[in-house]
Amino acid sequence: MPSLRDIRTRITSVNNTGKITRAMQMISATKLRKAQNAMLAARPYSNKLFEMLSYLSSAVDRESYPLLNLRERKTVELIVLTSDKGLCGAFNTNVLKETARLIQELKADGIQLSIVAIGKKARDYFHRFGVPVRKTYIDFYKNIKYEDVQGIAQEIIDSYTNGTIDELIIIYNEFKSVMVQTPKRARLLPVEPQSAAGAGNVGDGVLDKFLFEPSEAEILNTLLPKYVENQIYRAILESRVSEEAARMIAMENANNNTKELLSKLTLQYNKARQATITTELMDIVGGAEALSQ
Amino acid sequence: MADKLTLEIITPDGFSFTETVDELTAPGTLGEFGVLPGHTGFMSTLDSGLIKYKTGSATKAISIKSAYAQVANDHILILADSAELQQ
Repeated sequence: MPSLRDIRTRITSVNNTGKITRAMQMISATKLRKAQNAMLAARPYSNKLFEMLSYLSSAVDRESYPLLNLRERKTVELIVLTSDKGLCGAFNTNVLKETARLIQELKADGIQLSIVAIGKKARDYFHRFGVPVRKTYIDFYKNIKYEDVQGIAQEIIDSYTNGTIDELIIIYNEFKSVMVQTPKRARLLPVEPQSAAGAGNVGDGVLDKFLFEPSEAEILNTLLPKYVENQIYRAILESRVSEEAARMIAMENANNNTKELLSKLTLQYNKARQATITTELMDIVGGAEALSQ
Repeated sequence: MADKLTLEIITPDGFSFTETVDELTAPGTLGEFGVLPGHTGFMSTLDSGLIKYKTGSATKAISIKSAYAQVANDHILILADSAELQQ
């Protein structure tokens, strides 16, 4: 049986941890809302951009655009999105596991890999397992600016156009709901316009309907990188939302555990206190008895 | 034929702006162009610069950064990297 003092120290320490997790939960809740707003705000742009792109690309010859052109996979670039901070449940583990699986698959096919790690957790993970990482970006989640993402995207698109990489896959946590986030792989390059909901048929008509300036080829050539950029930006925003949601849930669980632990400890503490009181009383009674005789 | 244009500007940061305008001038990559109601379907890349539009007798401007413009059925859609209202 631990002493009264031990239990008391334990209670204080659990209490302090509880304070931290409670605060973190509240912070995550606020950040979640903010991140969610940012994600929603970015959506109309993405949708319209996608619309425009699928209009254009449905009517052109895929072969003549490097970003649309499918080619043999020799080198695949992976972008892995994790968080910078921990204490968010299985958030990072899930993505990293998925990445490990993908790496295995690609290696089995004899494909060269080049990895871009975004977030400290991804960096540390690859470092620990001795996987060479081409580039890391850390500490930019707090204040994501579209320009930062543009920089990252531009560099990758360049290496795609000059043939260093043949495919680009991004792995991130898809935000399904506050409770559910699942790791997702998405292929960003070559771009698949997915013939946007039957846009394939209207394609020819569209080109007739519009005048293009400078020309549809040139517009498409600038639109494609923009689309990739936008997809990366969206993935980053989504990953951030997922991170905060995961952290909020993790902290909520921690809070519940704290409460449970505290009630157990308090019970134990009270029992121990009562036990000492009883022993003391017995001593006193025993002493008094001895005196009166 | 409608005699007004709807102008819609969207950026990835969530800036979005819709207004009914009479006339619009935009900085196309191949030179500035104007859009009046009844304009034919048109798509263009835009340089960074000012989009000027007229509502009644008032002229206002919005500065944009590298964008795309799409004109269809008197609806002008502009997708910009960033946009800011000019006072």
